[in-house]
Amino acid sequence: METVSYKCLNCEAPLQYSAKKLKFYCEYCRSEYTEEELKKHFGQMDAELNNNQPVSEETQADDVPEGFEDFASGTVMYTCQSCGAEVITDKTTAATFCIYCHNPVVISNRLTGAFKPDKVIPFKFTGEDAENKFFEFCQNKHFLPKAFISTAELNKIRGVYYPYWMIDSKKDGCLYATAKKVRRWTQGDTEYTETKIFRCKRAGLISFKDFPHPALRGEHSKALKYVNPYNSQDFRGFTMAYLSGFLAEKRDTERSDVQGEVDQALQEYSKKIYLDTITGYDSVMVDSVNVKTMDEHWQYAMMPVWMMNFNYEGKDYLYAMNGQTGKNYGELPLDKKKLALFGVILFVALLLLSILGGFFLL
Amino acid sequence: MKKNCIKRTAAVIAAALTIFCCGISASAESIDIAEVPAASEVNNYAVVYGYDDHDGNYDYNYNNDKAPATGKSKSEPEKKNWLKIILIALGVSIVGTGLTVYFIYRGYKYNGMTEPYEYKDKAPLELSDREDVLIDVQVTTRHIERNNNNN
Repeated sequence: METVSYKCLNCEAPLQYSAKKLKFYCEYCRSEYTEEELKKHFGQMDAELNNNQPVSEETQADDVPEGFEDFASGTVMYTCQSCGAEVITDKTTAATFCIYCHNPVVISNRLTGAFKPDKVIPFKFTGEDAENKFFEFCQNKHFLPKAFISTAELNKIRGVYYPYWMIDSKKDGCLYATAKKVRRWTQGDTEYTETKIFRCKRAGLISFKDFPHPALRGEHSKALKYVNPYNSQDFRGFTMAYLSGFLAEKRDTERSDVQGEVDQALQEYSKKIYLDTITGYDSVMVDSVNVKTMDEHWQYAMMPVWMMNFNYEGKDYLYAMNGQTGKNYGELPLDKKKLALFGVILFVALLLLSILGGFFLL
Repeated sequence: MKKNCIKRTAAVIAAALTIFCCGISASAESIDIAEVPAASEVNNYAVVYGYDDHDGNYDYNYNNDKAPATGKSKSEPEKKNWLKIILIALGVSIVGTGLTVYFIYRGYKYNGMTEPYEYKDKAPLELSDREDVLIDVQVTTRHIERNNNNN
Protein backbone atom coordinates (compact mmCIF):
# COMPACT_ATOMS: atom_id res chain seq x y z
CA MET A 1 0.00 0.00 0.00
CA GLU A 2 1.55 3.31 -1.11
CA THR A 3 1.67 6.11 1.41
CA VAL A 4 2.89 9.67 1.34
CA SER A 5 4.20 11.79 4.14
CA TYR A 6 4.85 15.52 3.75
CA LYS A 7 8.12 16.31 5.47
CA CYS A 8 9.60 19.55 6.71
CA LEU A 9 12.06 21.08 4.26
CA ASN A 10 14.39 21.96 7.13
CA CYS A 11 14.37 18.97 9.47
CA GLU A 12 12.52 16.17 7.62
CA ALA A 13 9.96 15.88 10.43
CA PRO A 14 6.33 15.36 9.36
CA LEU A 15 4.36 18.46 8.41
CA GLN A 16 0.81 19.12 9.54
CA TYR A 17 -1.82 21.62 8.45
CA SER A 18 -2.56 24.18 11.15
CA ALA A 19 -6.16 25.34 11.24
CA LYS A 20 -5.13 28.22 13.48
CA LYS A 21 -2.36 29.61 11.27
CA LEU A 22 -3.93 28.38 8.03
CA LYS A 23 -0.43 27.18 7.06
CA PHE A 24 1.54 23.97 7.09
CA TYR A 25 3.88 23.76 10.03
CA CYS A 26 6.52 21.54 11.58
CA GLU A 27 6.00 20.97 15.27
CA TYR A 28 9.69 20.09 15.77
CA CYS A 29 11.54 23.07 14.22
CA ARG A 30 8.44 25.33 14.04
CA SER A 31 8.87 26.08 10.36
CA GLU A 32 5.80 27.29 8.52
CA TYR A 33 4.93 26.92 4.85
CA THR A 34 2.20 28.28 2.65
CA GLU A 35 0.35 26.13 0.13
CA GLU A 36 2.35 27.73 -2.71
CA GLU A 37 5.67 26.96 -1.04
CA LEU A 38 4.70 23.34 -0.56
CA LYS A 39 3.52 23.07 -4.14
CA LYS A 40 6.97 24.15 -5.35
CA HIS A 41 8.58 21.23 -3.54
CA PHE A 42 5.88 18.56 -3.62
CA GLY A 43 4.02 19.61 -6.76
CA GLN A 44 5.76 17.13 -8.99
CA MET A 45 5.27 14.31 -6.50
CA ASP A 46 1.57 15.19 -6.18
CA ALA A 47 1.16 15.28 -9.96
CA GLU A 48 2.76 11.87 -10.31
CA LEU A 49 0.59 10.45 -7.56
CA ASN A 50 -2.54 11.93 -9.11
CA ASN A 51 -1.76 10.30 -12.43
CA ASN A 52 -1.48 6.91 -10.79
CA GLN A 53 -4.54 4.72 -11.08
CA PRO A 54 -5.76 3.29 -7.81
CA VAL A 55 -4.42 -0.22 -7.41
CA SER A 56 -6.49 -3.13 -6.27
CA GLU A 57 -6.50 -3.38 -2.53
CA GLU A 58 -7.65 -6.95 -2.40
CA THR A 59 -5.58 -8.91 0.04
CA GLN A 60 -4.10 -12.00 -1.50
CA ALA A 61 -5.94 -15.08 -0.31
CA ASP A 62 -2.63 -16.88 0.25
CA ASP A 63 -1.55 -14.24 2.76
CA VAL A 64 -4.61 -14.58 4.96
CA PRO A 65 -4.48 -17.07 7.82
CA GLU A 66 -7.40 -19.44 8.14
CA GLY A 67 -10.32 -17.96 10.06
CA PHE A 68 -9.32 -14.33 9.33
CA GLU A 69 -10.93 -14.03 5.87
CA ASP A 70 -13.71 -11.66 7.03
CA PHE A 71 -11.23 -9.48 8.88
CA ALA A 72 -8.88 -9.36 5.91
CA SER A 73 -11.63 -8.47 3.46
CA GLY A 74 -12.38 -5.25 5.37
CA THR A 75 -8.82 -4.13 6.08
CA VAL A 76 -5.70 -3.06 4.22
CA MET A 77 -2.08 -3.00 5.36
CA TYR A 78 0.32 -0.12 4.72
CA THR A 79 3.90 0.62 5.65
CA CYS A 80 4.71 3.78 7.61
CA GLN A 81 7.37 5.79 5.80
CA SER A 82 8.78 7.20 9.02
CA CYS A 83 9.28 4.08 11.13
CA GLY A 84 8.68 1.25 8.68
CA ALA A 85 5.98 -0.36 10.80
CA GLU A 86 3.19 -2.27 9.07
CA VAL A 87 -0.15 -0.82 10.04
CA ILE A 88 -3.67 -2.00 9.27
CA THR A 89 -6.49 0.35 8.31
CA ASP A 90 -10.01 -0.21 7.08
CA LYS A 91 -10.84 0.08 3.39
CA THR A 92 -12.07 3.67 3.39
CA THR A 93 -9.31 5.32 5.45
CA ALA A 94 -7.40 7.84 3.33
CA ALA A 95 -5.35 9.61 5.99
CA THR A 96 -4.42 8.52 9.47
CA PHE A 97 -1.61 8.38 12.01
CA CYS A 98 0.90 5.58 12.42
CA ILE A 99 -0.09 3.91 15.65
CA TYR A 100 3.60 3.32 16.52
CA CYS A 101 5.35 6.62 15.77
CA HIS A 102 2.18 8.82 15.57
CA ASN A 103 3.38 10.48 12.40
CA PRO A 104 0.66 11.57 9.96
CA VAL A 105 0.30 9.32 6.94
CA VAL A 106 -1.72 9.88 3.76
CA ILE A 107 -2.57 6.70 1.87
CA SER A 108 -2.08 8.13 -1.57
CA ASN A 109 -3.59 5.27 -3.59
CA ARG A 110 -6.99 6.07 -2.20
CA LEU A 111 -7.01 9.65 -3.37
CA THR A 112 -5.73 9.32 -6.92
CA GLY A 113 -7.23 8.77 -10.34
CA ALA A 114 -11.03 8.60 -10.15
CA PHE A 115 -10.83 8.89 -6.39
CA LYS A 116 -8.99 12.20 -6.41
CA PRO A 117 -11.19 14.82 -4.75
CA ASP A 118 -11.82 17.97 -6.77
CA LYS A 119 -11.86 20.34 -3.83
CA VAL A 120 -11.46 20.60 -0.11
CA ILE A 121 -12.48 22.91 2.71
CA PRO A 122 -9.60 23.01 5.23
CA PHE A 123 -10.31 22.97 8.97
CA LYS A 124 -11.05 26.50 10.15
CA PHE A 125 -10.43 25.97 13.85
CA THR A 126 -8.19 23.75 15.92
CA GLY A 127 -9.06 20.81 18.16
CA GLU A 128 -8.67 23.13 21.14
CA ASP A 129 -11.20 25.55 19.68
CA ALA A 130 -13.52 22.61 19.04
CA GLU A 131 -13.23 21.63 22.71
CA ASN A 132 -14.07 25.18 23.79
CA LYS A 133 -17.05 25.28 21.48
CA PHE A 134 -18.13 21.94 22.85
CA PHE A 135 -17.87 23.19 26.46
CA GLU A 136 -19.81 26.30 25.54
CA PHE A 137 -22.48 24.13 23.99
CA CYS A 138 -22.59 21.81 27.02
CA GLN A 139 -22.99 24.69 29.46
CA ASN A 140 -26.56 25.10 28.32
CA LYS A 141 -27.28 21.39 28.53
CA HIS A 142 -28.15 20.74 32.15
CA PHE A 143 -29.18 17.13 31.71
CA LEU A 144 -25.92 15.81 30.28
CA PRO A 145 -24.13 13.15 32.36
CA LYS A 146 -21.05 14.55 34.07
CA ALA A 147 -18.78 12.01 32.38
CA PHE A 148 -19.79 13.30 28.96
CA ILE A 149 -18.14 16.66 29.49
CA SER A 150 -15.08 15.43 31.32
CA THR A 151 -11.73 16.19 29.72
CA ALA A 152 -10.93 12.52 29.37
CA GLU A 153 -13.89 12.00 27.08
CA LEU A 154 -13.19 15.17 25.14
CA ASN A 155 -9.78 13.80 24.21
CA LYS A 156 -11.63 11.49 21.90
CA ILE A 157 -12.41 14.37 19.54
CA ARG A 158 -10.70 13.79 16.21
CA GLY A 159 -10.52 15.90 13.09
CA VAL A 160 -11.71 13.92 10.07
CA TYR A 161 -12.07 14.85 6.41
CA TYR A 162 -15.20 13.21 5.06
CA PRO A 163 -16.07 12.67 1.40
CA TYR A 164 -19.06 14.43 -0.14
CA TRP A 165 -20.58 14.71 -3.54
CA MET A 166 -21.14 18.39 -4.34
CA ILE A 167 -23.78 18.83 -6.99
CA ASP A 168 -24.57 21.81 -9.17
CA SER A 169 -27.88 21.17 -10.87
CA LYS A 170 -30.25 23.19 -13.02
CA LYS A 171 -33.85 22.07 -12.70
CA ASP A 172 -36.66 23.28 -14.88
CA GLY A 173 -40.05 22.56 -13.45
CA CYS A 174 -43.60 23.49 -12.69
CA LEU A 175 -45.78 23.32 -9.61
CA TYR A 176 -49.58 23.36 -9.45
CA ALA A 177 -51.31 24.10 -6.17
CA THR A 178 -54.74 24.91 -4.79
CA ALA A 179 -54.78 27.90 -2.48
CA LYS A 180 -57.59 29.17 -0.27
CA LYS A 181 -58.38 32.59 1.09
CA VAL A 182 -61.00 32.70 3.84
CA ARG A 183 -62.98 35.79 4.96
CA ARG A 184 -65.52 35.88 7.79
CA TRP A 185 -68.04 38.55 8.73
CA THR A 186 -71.27 38.84 10.70
CA GLN A 187 -74.51 40.46 9.69
CA GLY A 188 -77.37 40.35 12.19
CA ASP A 189 -77.68 36.86 13.54
CA THR A 190 -75.76 35.30 10.66
CA GLU A 191 -72.07 34.60 10.36
CA TYR A 192 -70.83 34.40 6.77
CA THR A 193 -67.72 32.50 5.68
CA GLU A 194 -66.43 33.15 2.19
CA THR A 195 -63.80 30.79 0.80
CA LYS A 196 -62.09 31.83 -2.41
CA ILE A 197 -60.30 28.99 -4.16
CA PHE A 198 -57.39 29.73 -6.47
CA ARG A 199 -55.49 27.56 -8.89
CA CYS A 200 -51.82 28.55 -8.66
CA LYS A 201 -49.09 27.73 -11.12
CA ARG A 202 -45.39 28.43 -10.72
CA ALA A 203 -42.85 27.52 -13.35
CA GLY A 204 -39.20 28.39 -13.68
CA LEU A 205 -35.57 27.43 -13.54
CA ILE A 206 -33.89 26.60 -10.23
CA SER A 207 -30.09 26.62 -10.11
CA PHE A 208 -28.89 24.48 -7.21
CA LYS A 209 -25.33 25.32 -6.25
CA ASP A 210 -23.10 23.06 -4.15
CA PHE A 211 -25.79 20.69 -2.95
CA PRO A 212 -23.97 18.31 -0.56
CA HIS A 213 -24.57 14.58 -0.39
CA PRO A 214 -22.43 12.26 1.78
CA ALA A 215 -20.31 9.96 -0.35
CA LEU A 216 -19.78 7.51 2.48
CA ARG A 217 -22.35 4.99 3.58
CA GLY A 218 -22.70 3.52 7.03
CA GLU A 219 -23.26 4.74 10.53
CA HIS A 220 -21.81 8.21 9.93
CA SER A 221 -23.92 9.16 6.92
CA LYS A 222 -26.68 10.78 9.00
CA ALA A 223 -24.18 12.85 10.97
CA LEU A 224 -22.53 13.88 7.71
CA LYS A 225 -25.87 15.10 6.43
CA TYR A 226 -26.72 17.24 9.45
CA VAL A 227 -23.33 18.90 10.05
CA ASN A 228 -24.12 20.79 6.87
CA PRO A 229 -24.30 23.51 5.65
CA TYR A 230 -20.75 24.52 4.74
CA ASN A 231 -19.80 27.88 3.34
CA SER A 232 -18.74 27.36 -0.30
CA GLN A 233 -16.46 30.40 -0.25
CA ASP A 234 -13.73 28.40 1.49
CA PHE A 235 -13.39 25.70 -1.16
CA ARG A 236 -9.85 25.17 -2.42
CA GLY A 237 -8.35 22.92 -5.03
CA PHE A 238 -7.50 19.56 -3.47
CA THR A 239 -3.99 18.67 -2.46
CA MET A 240 -3.15 15.74 -0.20
CA ALA A 241 -1.10 17.97 2.07
CA TYR A 242 -4.31 19.33 3.66
CA LEU A 243 -5.03 15.88 5.04
CA SER A 244 -1.69 15.65 6.81
CA GLY A 245 -2.29 15.66 10.55
CA PHE A 246 -5.94 14.67 10.29
CA LEU A 247 -7.88 11.53 9.62
CA ALA A 248 -9.61 11.15 6.26
CA GLU A 249 -12.04 8.77 4.64
CA LYS A 250 -12.39 8.06 0.93
CA ARG A 251 -15.74 7.75 -0.78
CA ASP A 252 -17.35 4.35 -1.09
CA THR A 253 -20.17 5.32 -3.42
CA GLU A 254 -20.35 6.06 -7.12
CA ARG A 255 -22.56 8.72 -8.63
CA SER A 256 -24.97 6.08 -9.91
CA ASP A 257 -25.41 4.70 -6.37
CA VAL A 258 -26.77 7.96 -4.99
CA GLN A 259 -28.33 9.60 -8.05
CA GLY A 260 -31.83 8.51 -7.01
CA GLU A 261 -31.47 9.92 -3.49
CA VAL A 262 -30.11 13.21 -4.83
CA ASP A 263 -32.92 13.56 -7.40
CA GLN A 264 -35.51 12.95 -4.69
CA ALA A 265 -33.91 15.49 -2.34
CA LEU A 266 -33.67 18.13 -5.07
CA GLN A 267 -37.30 17.52 -6.04
CA GLU A 268 -38.33 18.16 -2.43
CA TYR A 269 -36.28 21.37 -2.34
CA SER A 270 -37.77 22.45 -5.68
CA LYS A 271 -41.22 22.01 -4.17
CA LYS A 272 -40.27 24.19 -1.20
CA ILE A 273 -38.77 26.87 -3.44
CA TYR A 274 -41.86 27.07 -5.67
CA LEU A 275 -44.15 27.04 -2.62
CA ASP A 276 -42.27 29.97 -1.07
CA THR A 277 -43.49 32.13 -3.95
CA ILE A 278 -47.17 31.40 -3.26
CA THR A 279 -47.99 33.91 -0.58
CA GLY A 280 -51.02 35.79 0.73
CA TYR A 281 -53.25 32.74 1.18
CA ASP A 282 -54.62 31.05 4.28
CA SER A 283 -53.76 27.57 3.05
CA VAL A 284 -51.89 26.08 0.10
CA MET A 285 -52.08 22.46 -1.01
CA VAL A 286 -49.71 21.09 -3.64
CA ASP A 287 -51.46 19.23 -6.45
CA SER A 288 -48.46 18.27 -8.54
CA VAL A 289 -44.83 19.12 -9.10
CA ASN A 290 -42.76 18.17 -12.10
CA VAL A 291 -39.06 18.82 -12.30
CA LYS A 292 -36.57 17.83 -14.97
CA THR A 293 -32.82 18.16 -14.98
CA MET A 294 -31.40 20.53 -17.58
CA ASP A 295 -27.77 20.37 -16.56
CA GLU A 296 -25.87 18.70 -13.74
CA HIS A 297 -22.29 18.74 -12.58
CA TRP A 298 -20.92 16.50 -9.82
CA GLN A 299 -17.75 17.08 -7.88
CA TYR A 300 -16.03 15.10 -5.18
CA ALA A 301 -15.03 17.13 -2.11
CA MET A 302 -13.51 16.57 1.29
CA MET A 303 -15.13 18.41 4.20
CA PRO A 304 -13.79 18.91 7.73
CA VAL A 305 -15.66 17.42 10.70
CA TRP A 306 -14.66 17.11 14.35
CA MET A 307 -15.97 13.75 15.52
CA MET A 308 -16.44 12.29 18.95
CA ASN A 309 -17.57 8.84 19.93
CA PHE A 310 -18.94 8.40 23.39
CA ASN A 311 -20.21 5.41 25.27
CA TYR A 312 -22.73 5.98 28.02
CA GLU A 313 -24.63 3.23 29.81
CA GLY A 314 -23.69 0.71 27.12
CA LYS A 315 -24.91 2.86 24.24
CA ASP A 316 -22.64 4.46 21.63
CA TYR A 317 -23.18 8.12 20.88
CA LEU A 318 -21.74 9.97 17.93
CA TYR A 319 -21.18 13.69 18.11
CA ALA A 320 -20.11 15.68 15.07
CA MET A 321 -19.08 19.31 14.69
CA ASN A 322 -18.72 21.10 11.38
CA GLY A 323 -14.99 21.90 11.09
CA GLN A 324 -15.71 25.14 9.26
CA THR A 325 -18.78 26.69 10.92
CA GLY A 326 -18.91 24.88 14.28
CA LYS A 327 -22.47 23.65 13.75
CA ASN A 328 -23.01 20.47 15.74
CA TYR A 329 -25.09 17.35 15.38
CA GLY A 330 -25.53 14.24 17.45
CA GLU A 331 -27.85 12.56 19.86
CA LEU A 332 -26.80 13.57 23.34
CA PRO A 333 -26.93 11.24 26.32
CA LEU A 334 -29.56 12.24 28.81
CA ASP A 335 -29.10 11.84 32.55
CA LYS A 336 -32.46 10.25 33.26
CA LYS A 337 -32.15 10.66 37.00
CA LYS A 338 -31.60 14.41 36.65
CA LEU A 339 -34.52 14.66 34.27
CA ALA A 340 -36.79 12.65 36.58
CA LEU A 341 -35.84 14.84 39.53
CA PHE A 342 -36.47 17.96 37.47
CA GLY A 343 -39.85 16.52 36.42
CA VAL A 344 -40.87 15.89 40.02
CA ILE A 345 -39.78 19.37 41.15
CA LEU A 346 -41.53 21.00 38.21
CA PHE A 347 -44.67 18.98 38.86
CA VAL A 348 -44.80 19.96 42.54
CA ALA A 349 -44.05 23.61 41.73
CA LEU A 350 -46.74 23.72 39.06
CA LEU A 351 -49.23 22.05 41.36
CA LEU A 352 -48.58 24.48 44.20
CA LEU A 353 -48.60 27.51 41.92
CA SER A 354 -51.83 26.37 40.30
CA ILE A 355 -53.51 25.85 43.64
CA LEU A 356 -52.22 29.19 44.93
CA GLY A 357 -53.36 30.88 41.73
CA GLY A 358 -56.83 29.48 42.23
CA PHE A 359 -56.85 30.34 45.92
CA PHE A 360 -55.83 34.00 45.56
CA LEU A 361 -58.23 34.67 42.75
CA LEU A 362 -61.15 33.50 44.87
CA MET B 1 -28.20 27.49 19.44
CA LYS B 2 -31.19 29.49 18.18
CA LYS B 3 -33.30 26.36 18.05
CA ASN B 4 -32.41 25.53 21.65
CA CYS B 5 -33.36 29.03 22.75
CA ILE B 6 -36.69 28.68 20.98
CA LYS B 7 -37.32 25.33 22.62
CA ARG B 8 -36.44 26.66 26.04
CA THR B 9 -38.58 29.74 25.55
CA ALA B 10 -41.44 27.55 24.37
CA ALA B 11 -41.12 25.40 27.48
CA VAL B 12 -41.15 28.45 29.75
CA ILE B 13 -44.14 29.92 27.92
CA ALA B 14 -45.93 26.56 28.16
CA ALA B 15 -45.31 26.48 31.91
CA ALA B 16 -46.41 30.10 32.34
CA LEU B 17 -49.54 29.50 30.28
CA THR B 18 -50.26 26.41 32.32
CA ILE B 19 -50.12 28.40 35.55
CA PHE B 20 -52.13 31.23 34.05
CA CYS B 21 -54.82 28.89 32.68
CA CYS B 22 -54.97 27.04 35.95
CA GLY B 23 -55.42 30.28 37.88
CA ILE B 24 -58.11 31.47 35.49
CA SER B 25 -59.99 28.17 35.51
CA ALA B 26 -59.76 27.88 39.26
CA SER B 27 -60.92 31.43 39.79
CA ALA B 28 -63.71 30.98 37.25
CA GLU B 29 -64.86 27.92 39.12
CA SER B 30 -64.82 29.78 42.40
CA ILE B 31 -66.67 32.81 41.02
CA ASP B 32 -69.31 30.63 39.41
CA ILE B 33 -70.18 28.80 42.52
CA ALA B 34 -69.13 30.89 45.47
CA GLU B 35 -69.87 34.49 44.54
CA VAL B 36 -72.94 34.40 42.36
CA PRO B 37 -75.82 34.10 44.78
CA ALA B 38 -78.23 31.29 44.26
CA ALA B 39 -81.74 32.09 43.03
CA SER B 40 -83.19 31.30 46.42
CA GLU B 41 -80.76 33.76 48.01
CA VAL B 42 -81.76 36.52 45.60
CA ASN B 43 -85.37 35.96 46.41
CA ASN B 44 -84.64 36.00 50.07
CA TYR B 45 -82.82 39.30 49.87
CA ALA B 46 -85.25 40.87 47.39
CA VAL B 47 -88.59 42.51 47.76
CA VAL B 48 -90.01 42.67 51.18
CA TYR B 49 -92.89 45.06 50.61
CA GLY B 50 -94.58 45.97 47.35
CA TYR B 51 -97.49 48.31 46.83
CA ASP B 52 -99.40 50.01 44.08
CA ASP B 53 -98.88 53.79 44.05
CA HIS B 54 -102.26 54.26 42.30
CA ASP B 55 -100.61 55.38 39.04
CA GLY B 56 -100.42 51.85 37.79
CA ASN B 57 -96.81 51.51 39.00
CA TYR B 58 -95.45 49.40 41.72
CA ASP B 59 -93.01 50.70 44.31
CA TYR B 60 -90.81 48.48 46.36
CA ASN B 61 -89.27 48.81 49.78
CA TYR B 62 -86.27 46.78 50.68
CA ASN B 63 -85.37 45.65 54.11
CA ASN B 64 -82.29 43.55 54.30
CA ASP B 65 -82.66 43.09 58.02
CA LYS B 66 -85.66 40.99 57.37
CA ALA B 67 -83.91 38.63 55.04
CA PRO B 68 -84.21 35.11 56.35
CA ALA B 69 -81.14 33.57 57.90
CA THR B 70 -81.83 30.23 56.31
CA GLY B 71 -80.02 30.99 52.97
CA LYS B 72 -76.81 29.22 51.83
CA SER B 73 -73.81 30.15 53.89
CA LYS B 74 -70.67 31.17 51.84
CA SER B 75 -68.31 28.67 53.47
CA GLU B 76 -70.20 25.65 52.15
CA PRO B 77 -69.49 26.06 48.40
CA GLU B 78 -65.83 26.96 49.11
CA LYS B 79 -65.26 23.54 50.61
CA LYS B 80 -66.57 21.90 47.45
CA ASN B 81 -64.39 24.14 45.24
CA TRP B 82 -61.17 23.02 46.86
CA LEU B 83 -61.59 19.56 45.45
CA LYS B 84 -62.21 20.93 41.97
CA ILE B 85 -59.28 23.36 42.19
CA ILE B 86 -56.94 20.55 43.24
CA LEU B 87 -58.19 18.26 40.47
CA ILE B 88 -57.75 20.94 37.83
CA ALA B 89 -54.32 21.89 39.19
CA LEU B 90 -53.32 18.23 39.18
CA GLY B 91 -54.36 17.77 35.55
CA VAL B 92 -52.67 20.95 34.40
CA SER B 93 -49.47 20.08 36.29
CA ILE B 94 -49.30 16.65 34.70
CA VAL B 95 -49.76 18.10 31.21
CA GLY B 96 -47.31 20.96 31.84
CA THR B 97 -44.63 18.66 33.26
CA GLY B 98 -45.15 16.08 30.52
CA LEU B 99 -44.80 18.64 27.75
CA THR B 100 -41.70 20.23 29.28
CA VAL B 101 -39.97 16.86 29.80
CA TYR B 102 -40.90 15.81 26.26
CA PHE B 103 -39.39 18.95 24.74
CA ILE B 104 -36.19 18.46 26.72
CA TYR B 105 -35.96 14.81 25.66
CA ARG B 106 -36.58 15.76 22.03
CA GLY B 107 -33.88 18.44 22.19
CA TYR B 108 -31.31 15.85 23.27
CA LYS B 109 -32.46 13.10 20.95
CA TYR B 110 -32.60 15.21 17.79
CA ASN B 111 -29.87 17.72 18.63
CA GLY B 112 -28.70 19.53 15.50
CA MET B 113 -31.26 18.12 13.07
CA THR B 114 -31.76 21.33 11.15
CA GLU B 115 -32.01 22.15 7.46
CA PRO B 116 -28.78 20.83 5.92
CA TYR B 117 -28.98 22.93 2.75
CA GLU B 118 -29.50 26.69 2.62
CA TYR B 119 -31.70 26.54 -0.45
CA LYS B 120 -32.84 30.15 -0.08
CA ASP B 121 -29.28 31.37 -0.62
CA LYS B 122 -27.86 28.64 -2.82
CA ALA B 123 -30.74 27.83 -5.14
CA PRO B 124 -32.10 30.94 -6.88
CA LEU B 125 -35.33 30.65 -8.84
CA GLU B 126 -35.98 32.38 -12.15
CA LEU B 127 -39.75 32.36 -12.50
CA SER B 128 -40.94 32.04 -16.09
CA ASP B 129 -44.65 31.61 -15.39
CA ARG B 130 -46.80 32.71 -12.50
CA GLU B 131 -50.57 32.33 -12.45
CA ASP B 132 -53.16 32.69 -9.70
CA VAL B 133 -56.63 32.03 -11.11
CA LEU B 134 -59.80 32.28 -9.05
CA ILE B 135 -61.74 29.14 -9.80
CA ASP B 136 -64.46 29.08 -7.14
CA VAL B 137 -66.07 31.09 -4.37
CA GLN B 138 -68.00 29.33 -1.64
CA VAL B 139 -70.07 31.16 0.95
CA THR B 140 -71.43 29.35 3.96
CA THR B 141 -73.66 30.83 6.63
CA ARG B 142 -74.19 30.00 10.26
CA HIS B 143 -77.02 31.24 12.41
CA ILE B 144 -75.75 32.69 15.68
CA GLU B 145 -77.85 31.71 18.66
CA ARG B 146 -78.52 34.73 20.85
CA ASN B 147 -79.53 34.28 24.44
CA ASN B 148 -82.26 36.85 25.13
CA ASN B 149 -83.11 35.50 28.55
CA ASN B 150 -81.86 38.20 30.94
CA ASN B 151 -82.36 36.01 33.97
